[in-house]
Amino acid sequence: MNKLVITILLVSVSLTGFSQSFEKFEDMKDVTAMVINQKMFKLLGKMDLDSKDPEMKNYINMVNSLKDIQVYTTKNPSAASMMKSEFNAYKGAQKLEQLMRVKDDGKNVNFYYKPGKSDDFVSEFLMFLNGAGDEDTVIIKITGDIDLKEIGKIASSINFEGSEELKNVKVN
Amino acid sequence: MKFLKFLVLVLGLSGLTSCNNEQSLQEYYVDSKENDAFIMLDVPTSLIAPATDKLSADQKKVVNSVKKVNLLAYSLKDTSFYNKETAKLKKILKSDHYDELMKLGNSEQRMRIFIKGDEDAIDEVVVFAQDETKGFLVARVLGDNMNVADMVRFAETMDTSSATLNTGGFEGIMDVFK
Repeated sequence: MNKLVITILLVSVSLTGFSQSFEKFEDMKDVTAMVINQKMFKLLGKMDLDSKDPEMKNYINMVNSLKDIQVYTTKNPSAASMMKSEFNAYKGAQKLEQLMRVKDDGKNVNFYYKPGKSDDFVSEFLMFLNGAGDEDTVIIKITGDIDLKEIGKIASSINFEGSEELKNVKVN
Repeated sequence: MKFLKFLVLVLGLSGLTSCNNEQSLQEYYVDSKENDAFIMLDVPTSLIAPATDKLSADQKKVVNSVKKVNLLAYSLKDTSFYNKETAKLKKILKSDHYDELMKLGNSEQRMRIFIKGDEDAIDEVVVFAQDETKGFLVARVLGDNMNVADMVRFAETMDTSSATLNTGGFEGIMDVFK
């Protein structure tokens, strides 16, 4: 009996602790946010189900394998520094591995991932763009069963500030 | 054993009371109907859908799956009222009945889309849009086993004869956001 109570407590605690740490940016002033959930991908996948086009089929497969996409952008320095510390805390807590780092036009872009079922697939993909001065600071988080080779395609379909940086991932 | 019974009783009671406290979106609409601050629009599909005799059986099925469109809008006059009501709506939409599809937002405007039901048999679509300087809008599309894929196909076929759609009713409410 006691065991059961403890298990329930543990589960509920771990569930609440597990809730996305970036969620607080959604309602923050000066932060532009976009979140797409799994249900949406399932719907999108269903929409073109009868498509015969192989490229479209690939696209649907990719969409179906995604769990969620979160994009947060800000120009506000204080929100940007919060995003930075939150990102650092998150990557430590989730034990993310660094995929690559790009310095381009004075912008620092970091890519992190969580290993997935094989070398080409990751279960989580994060990008952090540290914008100095007038530049945007951007966090992009994608979860699901992601083929690293397809990241560029995701980037071109979400078309968001900072998403063009994702296209660089294709190179390696 | 006694303890177990007690536990079940407590759980049951708390379940009941929480149900009672939780306001549904429908109740929110009903409560807000009395309030003059809101602009409400309730459109049965029969009003906007084209004459059914022009449609094929498949198209009819899609039209019939949608029962009505419900709009509730508030044009910003009082910020504290706006904050109170949007907080209420957020709480309602956070409940388990709704699945969030996506949300978009910048510093002033936000939009969220929710559905209720399975993804190929949707019972309700809710769009919640807010603008800190203008107000907010909740649009509900109520139906029975609505299928998005069918609707998209339907919308494609409608393009050619969109003149038969009577959208005049919506223009008034859209003025709120101009």
